[in-house]
Amino acid sequence: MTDFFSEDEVVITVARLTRVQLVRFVEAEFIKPQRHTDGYVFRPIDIARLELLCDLSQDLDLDEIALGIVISLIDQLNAARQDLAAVARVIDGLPADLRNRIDTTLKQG
Amino acid sequence: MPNDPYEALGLPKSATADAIKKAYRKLVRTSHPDLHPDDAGAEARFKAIAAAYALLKDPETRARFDAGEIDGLGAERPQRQYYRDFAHAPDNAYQQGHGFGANADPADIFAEILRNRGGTRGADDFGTRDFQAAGADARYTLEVPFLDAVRGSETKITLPDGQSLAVKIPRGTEDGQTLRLRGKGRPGFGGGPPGDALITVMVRPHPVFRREGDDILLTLPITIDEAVLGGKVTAPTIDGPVGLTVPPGASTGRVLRLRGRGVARAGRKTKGDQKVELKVVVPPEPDESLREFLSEWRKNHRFDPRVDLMKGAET
Repeated sequence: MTDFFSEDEVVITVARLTRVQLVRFVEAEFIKPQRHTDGYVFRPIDIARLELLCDLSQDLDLDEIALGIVISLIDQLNAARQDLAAVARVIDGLPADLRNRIDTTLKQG
Repeated sequence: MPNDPYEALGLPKSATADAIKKAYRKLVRTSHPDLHPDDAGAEARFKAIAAAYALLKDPETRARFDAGEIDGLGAERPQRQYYRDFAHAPDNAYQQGHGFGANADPADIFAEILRNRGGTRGADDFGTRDFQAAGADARYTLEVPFLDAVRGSETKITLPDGQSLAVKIPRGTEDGQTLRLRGKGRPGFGGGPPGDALITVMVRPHPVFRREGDDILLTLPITIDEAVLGGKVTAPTIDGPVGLTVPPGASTGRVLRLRGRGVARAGRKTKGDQKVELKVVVPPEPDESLREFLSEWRKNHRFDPRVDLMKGAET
């Protein structure tokens, strides 16, 4: 039982992806599979990312340069969202008086 | 999800292929879950749009929909996971540098973030956006006997944790095909839905039948007299033996077709055929009368099946 996909399995799972495209995405480092003794292994996150790359390149016709910019922005967006969630969790755990002060400051902001 | 793909894309039935593509692109920009990670409704909208586009972009399926042969759900894509569901996983290899770098002043970061949030929402929804993600898919392989795959069957697989999972093999399942059992994968996180079980089917070869698409191939031995004179013989099929007429003068390699005796694939109207390849088999110990007759026949008849072959070899 495994959560990893071989190159063959990736091309089957992401039906509209060709092997040539997969190799291009790995070369361009849009996809960073783990190296294994007998080639690359792909994780579920790589599959989801490949679906996204297919949406962007095939449905929206982005070329490789635009694809690089968009995927980088999406990564930055996700990093920012994660930071924001971390801050929100910290604030949520603060004592009530501190939360009120933050609340007040926000409303003044 | 609207059942009308034209409605889903906001188009009239007369829309051109170009207009369909344009409308789809515009909706992807506004509804792709990975371009709008905070939009909870994006996934459902995108799913409807993608299904509609999958149906309309192909002139053939579009024509079939227009003719009423298939409905709008026919082209629904299998469930997929979006990148945003993984983006917060702790081992995300694509994670770029956090805002909280070594040199950053935490006060500035807080001020920045809070200022931005204050403009749009009250402080009340802090903390309400818990991390939620769908569970991972679990992958298994399953070896299935040839006839079970062809006719469809039900079986069970035992999972490593001792539980068993009922698997329905649809009629006509092919070697290497993957079956998806919704929600039978790993549990989700934070109330997210469970993943799917993906079962790759390996079809065990059959000693007699072979498969080519929806057709079944079979090699049928016949005798010399059946080959020369023709006759009625019995041939096995995947649904039991049937009568088959061998035409007079049939040689080895001649293929006879039993229409509709092939694979009936789930969701398809027409069945495949069974192709029967004839193979003339000489008795292991030909009796005296046969020997005598053929010796006589050889003397008086000239038939050279290799004439064309010898000529062809010289060019």
